[in-house]
Amino acid sequence: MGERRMYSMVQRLNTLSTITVTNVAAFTCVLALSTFYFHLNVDMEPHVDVKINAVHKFGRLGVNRYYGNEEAHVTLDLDADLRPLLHWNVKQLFVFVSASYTTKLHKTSEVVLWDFIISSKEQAQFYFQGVTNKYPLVDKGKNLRNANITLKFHWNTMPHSGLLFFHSKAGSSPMTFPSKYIQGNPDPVPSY
Amino acid sequence: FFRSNMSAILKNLTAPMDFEGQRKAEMLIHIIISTCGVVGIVFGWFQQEYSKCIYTIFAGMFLCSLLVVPNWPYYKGTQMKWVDDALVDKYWDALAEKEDGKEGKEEKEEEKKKRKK
Repeated sequence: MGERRMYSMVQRLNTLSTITVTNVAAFTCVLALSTFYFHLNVDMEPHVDVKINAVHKFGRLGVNRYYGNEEAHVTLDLDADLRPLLHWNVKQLFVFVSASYTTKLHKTSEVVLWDFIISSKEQAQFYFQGVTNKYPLVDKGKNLRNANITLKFHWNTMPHSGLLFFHSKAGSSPMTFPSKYIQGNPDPVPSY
Repeated sequence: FFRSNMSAILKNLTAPMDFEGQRKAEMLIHIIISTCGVVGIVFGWFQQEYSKCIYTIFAGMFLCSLLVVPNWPYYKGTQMKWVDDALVDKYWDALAEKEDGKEGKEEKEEEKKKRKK
């Protein structure tokens, strides 16, 4: 067996790495507490506007098209400047657009149409026109015709360490859906 | 000439430290890494990037590993007096005799009980 000592160079290295990791944890707590400074002192209102550009396909799902649920494919106009939301404790911003409307059966329905992950300042500013939705607007029932639809923009702040925040902002122009079905072409290519 | 010198130097640097040296080394680790952390936090705040803070702490750890881990002459100061081997052997022999004496008494007591039964 090799010689064994109670205290050696390797143990010194172990002590060093333990102290380093403990300090990193302590300073990460400081980072987490510093988020409250941003929420209290700095203005964190983003400039956001979303609306529907056009409905380009509208019909019913399923094999027997009389009994299926209604589905619509829309294109969106997105105008967003989310740079005030980014600070040093933000790892990602998860951002999504949802359509909300009222029907006879259900009081409010909200369907997510488009989402995006923002990690840096370059991605935080965008102006898309005519982006097709990632997920179609599918209703539970057949109540989309003549429905009054408002788009809402939600953002989910994911920190490096600390609390998660979730806010939303309504779009400016609600839209009434057409009363007749539209046959429509296959989905156009998204522009992001 | 150089090789023999190098091996002697390496043996010197990898030898264990005494207690005073260990205390100095650990104080140095604490001081360097805490200041690196504070400097890193301030540095990261003005650039709004927490990764800079982590990088300064790791740079401090690398610096520390150069300064603290090998057994530099700075950490050797107090003369450690180890006890002679002959004294230690005498001590252990005396202890063994005491225990043998005790065990011998216990065996005699057990034998007496068995004879009584």
